[in-house]
Order: sequence, then structure tokens, then C-alpha cells
Amino acid sequence: MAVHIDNTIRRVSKPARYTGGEWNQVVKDHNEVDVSFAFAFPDLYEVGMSNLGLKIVYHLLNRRKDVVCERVFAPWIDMEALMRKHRIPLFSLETRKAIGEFDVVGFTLQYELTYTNIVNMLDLAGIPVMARDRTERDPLIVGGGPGALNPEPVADMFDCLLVGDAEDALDEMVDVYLDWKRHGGRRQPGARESLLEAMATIEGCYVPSLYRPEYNPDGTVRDVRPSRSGVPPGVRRRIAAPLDLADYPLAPPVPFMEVVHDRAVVELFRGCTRGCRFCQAGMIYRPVRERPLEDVVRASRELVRNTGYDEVSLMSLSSTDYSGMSGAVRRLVGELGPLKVNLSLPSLRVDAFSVGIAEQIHSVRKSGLTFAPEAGTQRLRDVINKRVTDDDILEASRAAFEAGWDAIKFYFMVGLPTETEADLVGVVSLIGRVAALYGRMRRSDGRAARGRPKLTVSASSFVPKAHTPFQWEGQATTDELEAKQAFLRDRLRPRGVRLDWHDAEMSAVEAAIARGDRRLTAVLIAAWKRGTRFDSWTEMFEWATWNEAFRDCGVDPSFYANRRRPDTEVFPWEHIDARVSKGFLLRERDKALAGITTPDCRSGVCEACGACG
Amino acid sequence: MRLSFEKGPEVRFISHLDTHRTFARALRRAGLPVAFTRGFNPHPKIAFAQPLAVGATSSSDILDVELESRIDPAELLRRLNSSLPGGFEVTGAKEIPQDAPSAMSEVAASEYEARAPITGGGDPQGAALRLLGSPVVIVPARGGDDRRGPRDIRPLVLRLSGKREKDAAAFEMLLRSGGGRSVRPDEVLLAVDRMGDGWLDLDAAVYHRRRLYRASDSGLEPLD
Repeated sequence: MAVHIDNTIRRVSKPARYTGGEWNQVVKDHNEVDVSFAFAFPDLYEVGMSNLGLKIVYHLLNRRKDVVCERVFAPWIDMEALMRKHRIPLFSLETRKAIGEFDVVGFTLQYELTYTNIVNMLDLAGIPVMARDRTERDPLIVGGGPGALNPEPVADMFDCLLVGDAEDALDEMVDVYLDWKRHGGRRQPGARESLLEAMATIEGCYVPSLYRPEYNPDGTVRDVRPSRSGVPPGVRRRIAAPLDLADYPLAPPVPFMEVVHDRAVVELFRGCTRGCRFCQAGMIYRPVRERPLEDVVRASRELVRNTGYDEVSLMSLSSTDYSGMSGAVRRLVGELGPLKVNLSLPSLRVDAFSVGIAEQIHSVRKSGLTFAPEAGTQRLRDVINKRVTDDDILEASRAAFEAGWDAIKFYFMVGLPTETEADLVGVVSLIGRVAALYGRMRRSDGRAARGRPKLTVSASSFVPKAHTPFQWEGQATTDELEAKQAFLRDRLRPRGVRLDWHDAEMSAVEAAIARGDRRLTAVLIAAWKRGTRFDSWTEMFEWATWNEAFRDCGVDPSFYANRRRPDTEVFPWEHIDARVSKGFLLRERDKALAGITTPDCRSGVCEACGACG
Repeated sequence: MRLSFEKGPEVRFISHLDTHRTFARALRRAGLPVAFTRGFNPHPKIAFAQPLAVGATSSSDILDVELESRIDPAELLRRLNSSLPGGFEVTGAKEIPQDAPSAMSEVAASEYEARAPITGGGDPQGAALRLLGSPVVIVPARGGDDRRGPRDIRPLVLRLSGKREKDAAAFEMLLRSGGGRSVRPDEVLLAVDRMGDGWLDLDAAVYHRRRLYRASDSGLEPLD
């Protein structure tokens, strides 16, 4: 098969996507391990290799002597065509082993628009797409990642899913698997069932076949209950605390080719206490768990030594919230500067931005600066609990300009709950004031600013997500979203401001799946059968095809995307406990509609969200 | 320092830019004192003699690295090799003067091996002689960025020989390269193929660049 693969690889674009062989890749003899695991990232190599979750799982599994973990990514359409033509099954990068021959195949649920790639990869691997159709010959199909907080649209495709952090749970799942294998494994009668029952005893491990949703006549969920006795009523999200550096990937595989994020990543902390009401990550990764400064410094140093990257990125949901941030930056710049390694700090809060930090972090190489006000007026920012003021935004922009930046990108969302035209006008006037600042100020080097600043506004569409205070809201229709984007474009373009926007139709499909239930599985498969792939790529997304798929299956996407839910509704993810209580989310929703903010709970006042309990 | 290196079959599909990136990172991993450019976006001072097409392998390939401090060539070779991914290997290292001309500017010719399966009948040896005996050999314009029209490559083919190896035609060639006028080995194979009305499977051809040459008083000499 190796020759076959070489002959196809030479004919496709970016063959390095399929070759493996990277520095730090782990190759083991499958005969010398007890479990083989294929990590399947449902997007291109260059996206997957930029993902921290993959690096963490790769490290957690491969450091065990009894496990081998190899990688596989979604083949681009040219490669897929050749693979189907020459009957080459989906294969792993490290040893080109057919994915169907691994003991376990794990998919990460990162983004709803990659779900058809999961269907496609299972099909390419010769593995039955639906869990109930698999036999002893097939690998165990597991899932994880943020999408596991509402995996219902794909639940029937998975044997089990890990909800929450992998750091401890993954080892437990592997140990259960090993134990099962030692007692006969696939050869036992009722083999798969006994394995899944054992898996279900692990906290955070969700076995969809052990739960059955029931629906009301109006199509809403009545109940999601265990399908037999002895099964716990629900699944509790797994939280790893504290975050141990030993569990962190300090020698991840280094891609040959250019990938989305070509740098070493150091996680500062997991979780967030800001409580922005639209943000699912801010809810499902609570509570905050910081890594000590010494761990961050050591990780940065070792990563550079093990990878040779020329940039280290400090990652978290809100990096300026890291305790002792300026001290950390000072230490790291001191260490990395002489090595000509750049330090990058994405996710800076506008209200904590300062020239000092900015100058330090970009002392080696200046990259672009982004701020995320999300809404154009204070009123709407209060609704979404983004506690950032106009003055914060202007002050941060002024500091950036004075320090020598002349390009800033501002992230906004359209379609937020309670949004009116006044809020869109707010975006335009805010950007106008930022531009005016540029003309008036003098740079720190004494020279007047020349010309106009390069300002970009990114206007994505709000998508209500599970486990957030806005999970009861309806998404605006695509017509409404497009009108809002056009409104901004018509007013920003003449001022020389560039507008980036995310396709409203893509957001609509994302919204339908994000709060979908198991009836969406048929839609995903129907869409796949009609040829959808890589839906997260604008050039690949086909609105018409998706609509046909929904129609084929008799499913109305607006039921999931645009419908406002009553407070009493039972959600498809009701049985999955994200450790943030529904009561808290409802309280936050009510405060949102009243325009009342909730301060960061780090400042002392606990809102009893449930995560620390 | 001028390094000779090999690019083996495991990394044949790694592009030239990726190869550049690979060496930059390997040098950093090895803790070698590479010099950096100044200014806005410092990058390591590494320069390759000549890019290699994706899919080809090479031996005696050349890259120059500027160092901030002196280091024993044997030690550089050892440390760099222990930081390079499989498929890349540095085979030689020697100091060159600071003001030596860049490797890229010196390259005058490249020596290649090429193999292609034979689909029709055909005699590789005869085909090579026929090409060499033609006063003019026209190949079509290259696609993409190259806006040149069809051109005569005969004067750019310095040496060419062919022989049969089981079901494949194996060629050795020395081609003018670098500077303004150059020809690629796949263009030579295309010309050979056309002379016999399409007797080679060009899609399955493999190429190996054996050596790079510079101009000298006596003609050509190896660059490494």
C-alpha cells in the first residue's frame, strides 16, 4: 500500500499533509503495545496541527508504554478522490496503517461545520457510520472536545464520548479498555456492551446507547433518560485540577508545511470568570485553573528547545487575567528575546491593555493587534456582559497607535439578543472615533502619524450555544443577519475600514446543529451523501445542499436555530451536566434582558454558578 | 559555512520552502549560533543554492549558513544531524569566507538522474543520442508564473545518456541551471518522450539531483 500511497500523494496539492515523518512524531511497533489509538481530526492537516487538544491527547497517550497514538486528518477533496478511485482506506500518518485496524479511533468535536467530515472519514476508513451497525471487527469510536457538551447531533455515531478534560479521564478509559481486552476483549460474548457499560462508570464518560431521548408531539424533548437500570441519570463534565505540567505536551510534532498556527503554545490557564453571556467556552471550562509562573516559563523554554519554533504563544480565554501577567511577560521576553523567539499574546482584554505590555510582547516582531468589543454600544455590551467601555476601547487604541501599531482588528457580532439599529450605528461611530484618534496623536517617537490607520472590523453572526445564558434565544434569520452585515459594510467601507464577515448561511447551519438533537444525525448523513465536505470552508459550503438535506429528512432547521425556547423547555443536552447550573444561566439571562451586568467573580462576589462546587 | 546535505525519499514531498523552514528550526533545536537579519522581522541567515522540485530527492545539495561565532565544522555537522528529521542528512560542512559569493549566484549546472516506466517500445540510449543530435529541441511554455513562450532547450542540455533498466528508462543528464537560462529535468524527459511519440509514463517519473556545479576556468566544477 505504501507504493500506492506515494503515487497518489505525488499528484495532490500539498502532499506534506499526508506524509508524516515530522520531528517529534512518535512511531511505535504495534506489536509491542496493548492499545492502538488513532486520533482523527476532522479537518485539514494544517488546521488540526494547530490544535492544542490534539497535542495534549497525543502526549497523554504516547507517554504510556502500553499505548500508541497516531494521527489522521481529513483528506482534501483531491486526495479523497484518488483514495476512493484506488481503494486506499483512510490511513494514519505515522505508519500508514488503515484506521479501521486500530483498536480505538477518537474524533474531536471542535466545530459543528466539521461534522460531515467525521461521517466522511468513517466512511473512508470502512467503519460503519452508526454505532449500532458496528461489530467486533470495528474499532471503538470515541469523541471529545468542546462539542461533547452537546454531542446529540452525532451521538448515535459514537460508542462513547468524553465530556470535559482529558488529563485524568483518558488514562482511566484506556485502563478500562485494557482490562476488557485482558478478559477476552472482542472475543467475549456481548463484548461491545460489556466494554461500554464499564466505560460508563468513568466520570465524564458518556455512552449514548445507554440513553434514549423521548419527544413531545410539538417536537421538543420530553426527556433523555437511561435506557436501562443501573445507568446514572446523567453525565458530569470532568474537571482536571490542578493542571499538571507533566500532562502538557512539551515536544509536539513539528509540521514541515505551513500550518494555521506555526508556533509553540503554552496554556496559561483553563477556564474564565468574566462571564460573557454569549461565550460557551467561558462556561464549559470553569473553574479557572492557572498554571504557576515557573511552569509557564519552563514550558516555554523546553518547547523552544524541543521544537525550534521562533514564536511562543501564551494561550487562554483572557490572557490579561493571568495573575502576575506583567511579571510573566517580563520573564519570558528576557528568556526568549536573546534566542530571537517572538512572544505572542492573543486574547488581550481591551480594558487591561497597556502600552507596556504591548511593547514587551512584540519586542522581537510586531504582529497584528486584535480587540473584541463584540457590540457597538454600552447598552448592548451590558446585555452580553462584556464589561468594556468606549473609553477602554479608545484608550487601548491610542496606546497601540502611540507604540507604533497602525493596524488593529476589531471583533464584533451581529444578531445579539435585543440588538437594534442603534447598536450597529454604535459600531460605526466607535470605529470612527478610533480613526480620528490616530490622526490627532503623536507617536512615542515624536513623529506624527501618517495617513490613515488600517482598521478592520470582523462582524460574525451570533450563534446561541448550549450551556450559556443565551441558550434559550433564537438566532436572527439569515436575511436579518445579512441585512445587518450590509448595514455595517455600507457605512464602514466609505471610511476606508475593511469589513470581514462570516457567511450568515454558514452560521445558520452551525446554529441548527449547535442546539440540535439526535434527529440531526440523519441530516448530517444526508448532507454528506449529497457531497458536503469541509463545510467550515467558505468555498466548500453549499447552502442549497444543506437545505435539501434538511428537507429530505423532514427536519426544519429553524426549529433548532431561530426558535426562542420557553424557560421550561427540556434541552437535548439536559442529561449532560457542564457543572454550571441551569438556575445560574437563567438568572444571567434575566439580567441580560434587563441590561444588568455581573462582575468577574474573581473580584470576590460569587454568583454560585456551580463550577466550584 | 557551506553545508552539503541529502534529501532522501522519506521527505521527497516536502517543498523547498518547507525544507528551508525545517533547517531553520533544526538549527535552533541544535542550539547553533546562527546569525539573524536585522530589522522588523529577523530571520536566520540561511541560503540554499537552488530549490528542488517537490517529489525529487537530492544528494550533495548545498546550503549556506551564516554563524555568529566560529564552530568546528565536524561538531556543527554532528549537532545539526541529531536535530534533523529523518530523510534529511548533512554530509559535509566547510567554512567559506564571509564575502564569498552566494551559492545561488554561483550555480551554473545541475546533474540529475531520471527514471520513467516505458509504456511504448523504445530505446533510451538511442533517444538520448537523438536529442543530443538535434540542432533544436523545442519544449512548450511552462505554466503558471513563467510567461516565456515555447523555447529551444538544446543548448541547455550539456550531457545526456540513457539506458534501459528492466521496464524503465533511466537517464543521466547535466543541465544548465541558475541565472537566467535554465532547463528542468522534466522538460528534458518531456522532449525525449515526444521524440518517440509518447513512449514514457511521465506521471510516474522520479528525479534525483546528484550534484550542483559552478563555472570554473576548466569548465565546470562541483559547488560543494
